[in-house]
Amino acid sequence: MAAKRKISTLITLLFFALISPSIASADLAQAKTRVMGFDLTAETCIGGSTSLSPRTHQGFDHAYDKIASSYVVAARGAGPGFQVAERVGAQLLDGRLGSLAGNISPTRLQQLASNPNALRFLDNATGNTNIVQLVEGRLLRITTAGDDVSKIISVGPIQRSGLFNGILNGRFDLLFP
Amino acid sequence: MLSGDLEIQLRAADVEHLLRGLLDDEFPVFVSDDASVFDVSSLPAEEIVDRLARAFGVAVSSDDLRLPIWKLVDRLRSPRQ
Repeated sequence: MAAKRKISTLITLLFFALISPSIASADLAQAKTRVMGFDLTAETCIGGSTSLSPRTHQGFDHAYDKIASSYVVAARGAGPGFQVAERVGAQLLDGRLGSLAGNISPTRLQQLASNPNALRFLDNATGNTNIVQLVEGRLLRITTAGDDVSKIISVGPIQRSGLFNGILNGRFDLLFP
Repeated sequence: MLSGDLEIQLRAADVEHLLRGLLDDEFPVFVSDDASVFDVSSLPAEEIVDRLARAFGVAVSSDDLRLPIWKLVDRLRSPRQ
């Protein structure tokens, strides 16, 4: 049963693994189109600050922690409560992200975290969930807490080889919707 | 929402050193106080232990890898504590 599940997972991941530079442009275009669609929706609702867009917190719990209180960028209607601090927006410009640098706005990150088309993997080493998807030709990992999937605890690229090896050695389990 | 990263920011240089010693092409753009090395790297635990030993000259256990990164940094800086 477990072996069948791993095989199923690997077949799903072939989509990512088989992307070569020669066809990447087509996939890139698809990914871009999809994300641009998200951006269009979100940015129509975005406010420059919480004071200018008081409804940005609509639907979220009032018990914000000290970090949440400093948020100045928030999206309304972005799904299950993902919010991104302004400082992280600057980090998303970091050159170490390669082709992702400058192409992931805080708004887009929120949308990516709640993207129903992303693959979700349980990390058995931690109990946390990795949300993985192809963005600008690179696999982006958004890790959420195991006990609170709305809490993002880290963001960064992930290597295909690491993902494959993790599945094969049992560290990562694909979470089926 | 993003988890807090106050402790990470207080140790920014050491965390950067750890991540550079540990990671090749998976350098994260956001690491919170709740994240362990497993949350920034897909490397196997054995490889992570080896790389940390090379970068810091300190042996860590597999249990240490489950610590939040900021606590692991403290552990690497003061291995006897």
